[in-house]
Amino acid sequence: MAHEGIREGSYLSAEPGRGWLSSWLLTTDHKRIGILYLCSILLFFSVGVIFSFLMRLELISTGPTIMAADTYNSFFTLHGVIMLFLFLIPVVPAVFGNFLLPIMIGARDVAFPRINLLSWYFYMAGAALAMATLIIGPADTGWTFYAPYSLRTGSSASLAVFAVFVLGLSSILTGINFVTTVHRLRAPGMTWFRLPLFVWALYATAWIFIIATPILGVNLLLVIAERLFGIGVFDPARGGDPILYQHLFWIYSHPAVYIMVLPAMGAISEIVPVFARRVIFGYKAIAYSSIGIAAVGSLVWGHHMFVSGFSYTAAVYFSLFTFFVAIPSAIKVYNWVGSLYTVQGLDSYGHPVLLRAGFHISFFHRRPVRAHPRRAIGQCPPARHLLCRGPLPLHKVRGGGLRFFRGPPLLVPEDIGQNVQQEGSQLGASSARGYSWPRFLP
Amino acid sequence: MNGTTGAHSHRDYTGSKIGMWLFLFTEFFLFFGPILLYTIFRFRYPQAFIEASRALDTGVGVFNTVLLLTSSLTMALAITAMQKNKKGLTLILLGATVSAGAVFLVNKYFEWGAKISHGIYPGGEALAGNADGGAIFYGLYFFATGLHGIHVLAGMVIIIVAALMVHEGKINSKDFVKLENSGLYWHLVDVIWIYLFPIFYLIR
Amino acid sequence: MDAEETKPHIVGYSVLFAVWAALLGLTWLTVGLSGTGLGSFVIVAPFLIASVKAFLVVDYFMHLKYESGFFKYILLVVLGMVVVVAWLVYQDVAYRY
Ligand SMILES: [Cu+2]
Repeated sequence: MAHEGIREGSYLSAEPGRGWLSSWLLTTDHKRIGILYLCSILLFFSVGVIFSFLMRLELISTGPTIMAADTYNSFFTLHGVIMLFLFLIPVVPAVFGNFLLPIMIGARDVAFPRINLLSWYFYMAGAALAMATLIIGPADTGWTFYAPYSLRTGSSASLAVFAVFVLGLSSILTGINFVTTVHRLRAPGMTWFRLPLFVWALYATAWIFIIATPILGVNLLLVIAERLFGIGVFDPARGGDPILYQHLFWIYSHPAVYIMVLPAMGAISEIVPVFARRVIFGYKAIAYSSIGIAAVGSLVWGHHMFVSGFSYTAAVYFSLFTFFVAIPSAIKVYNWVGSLYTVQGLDSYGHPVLLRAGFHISFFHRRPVRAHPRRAIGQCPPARHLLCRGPLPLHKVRGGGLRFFRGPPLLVPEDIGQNVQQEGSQLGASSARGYSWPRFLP
Repeated sequence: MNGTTGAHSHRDYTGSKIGMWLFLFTEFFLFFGPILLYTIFRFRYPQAFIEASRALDTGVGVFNTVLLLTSSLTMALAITAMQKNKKGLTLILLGATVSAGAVFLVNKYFEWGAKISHGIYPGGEALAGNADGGAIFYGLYFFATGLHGIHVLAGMVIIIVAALMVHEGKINSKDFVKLENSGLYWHLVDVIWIYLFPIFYLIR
Repeated sequence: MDAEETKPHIVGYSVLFAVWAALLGLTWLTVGLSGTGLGSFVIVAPFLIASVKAFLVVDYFMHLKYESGFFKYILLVVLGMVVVVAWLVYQDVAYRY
């Protein structure tokens, strides 16, 4: 445990009085927990990738090629659950947040180290439940578990739904830890406006965890109760309303996009000034824009529901608020551009700057042109057309965000090594491109 | 929360309480969902909801409300007693709190049992094929009060653990933040009931 | 640190008993108003009374009154969030058909 004195050697060597395995599984050291998360998330990510390749292989010709239809459906569901809840949601906060947040604010650990470890166990429990669906009984609902299909399907959707509920508990504990840590454990002199911008982004993300996750949680509990007892709230045959399921689902799942993208933006905000060799332009604006994105981003969930048959009045409001998110997002981008603008000699830019440019292009330019929320899906009529086009929009948004994998290796502290930074960043860049482009460019 | 403040040798009371409040917010949002659904369906099926609500026994509801409010009082009194270093009184008050919670659950058990024996439960014969809102009312009733009942049970366990720690002296007049956080949890359970009681028993 | 470490405030027994009495009084009031057929007031009044009761519990039993401003601000953020989310959902259900 962190407070039991200074350990010999690095944080990677076994803790005193413990074997190798128990000093990992029982650790309360935020750095070790970050690495636990890293290994488990990469493991499940590779499983998700395997599912995705198998599915694309199945689609190579018409009719059953390598698997039956219900196997395909269960792979489809599990691929979504893994990529969203086991990978995209925890990857930056739980790995890089856990590792770096205390270091960046000068704390020796997070506020509740044991609860931090507990969150990893909830993550593993949720992951185990999700994997168990393959053996016990696959779900065929897709990762969104939309009612009324999820209420009636004969597949064991309840288990998959419960797995996501447990993963939510893990997120909540991480969120509580980060908010408390930032408020209570900053080193003397580390005032709010001296915080690294990555910390600001994590702070905003942690608030999304706290506010949005329980609403998804209760929604999933309602689905389970509906399947077990038939309480009727989402079932039109009993007078219920399936669109309310979509509301409660997207109240969480839109902000979940920001859970992924905010810390990534925070990482960009750290990397740009280093390679521009100056302080970041517009520090306060970027800091506030993280909070702004979290706040306004909580009011836009209806843009996922334009085709659901909900009221046109609501569509107008949600469309309007979706446009508003562009403001804090653009504040960040223009300040990054401002940071780079003043530097002489563009040839000093290495790939880290190009990765930011790549982010810029994929997130803000390519997206509106091709099925992307910032503008196209934000507008109601095109959305009604575009949202019917299968997995494309989702993979452009979140798969596009994958390109952030060029970023995080650069946050690895200097003393661990320049090589990790350079090679990791190159690797992340090419693998993200290699993973997402060939299969999703139409 | 049960976590230590880790790096610091002194205990960060405010930090622990911030963590607990943040956790309570997540619990609050958990119940916000069903209550929001209730208001929506109340406006969609006003007549069916009024009739369904009339079948609930207000007397039992009032009794349970008084019980939980009183248990909240004894919990708050227990914290004051602990701060004044009256260990025996603290333990008595915690015992009273847990007992009130237990009686609450027993009442709920009989209340549910009576409804279920009349076929009034999700999927039961009295509500079968009912699409005019009555089934939704009871669906939400059983879901929300059931979820609340689980929280009452969890709160009782937490208070029993806290009482044992008081007994062993791990919670004392100098270090009582764990008792305070247990109390916060119990009061939240009470606050949720303060909303659940009128929406199911009184709005008719 | 934005939430200063303050000496714990001890709330007197009499204050707690007074709050308890007020809570029972409000319960009596809200039960009395039930089923009086006052239109939409029948829906709004129980929510208002419940909110007053919840405020009493939060402020005195949960010691929010004696905590630093930070606790009050985060509670306001949460309540604001609830209001806005509910308002947006009503924009759908109220105008759907
Ligand atoms: Cu969205």
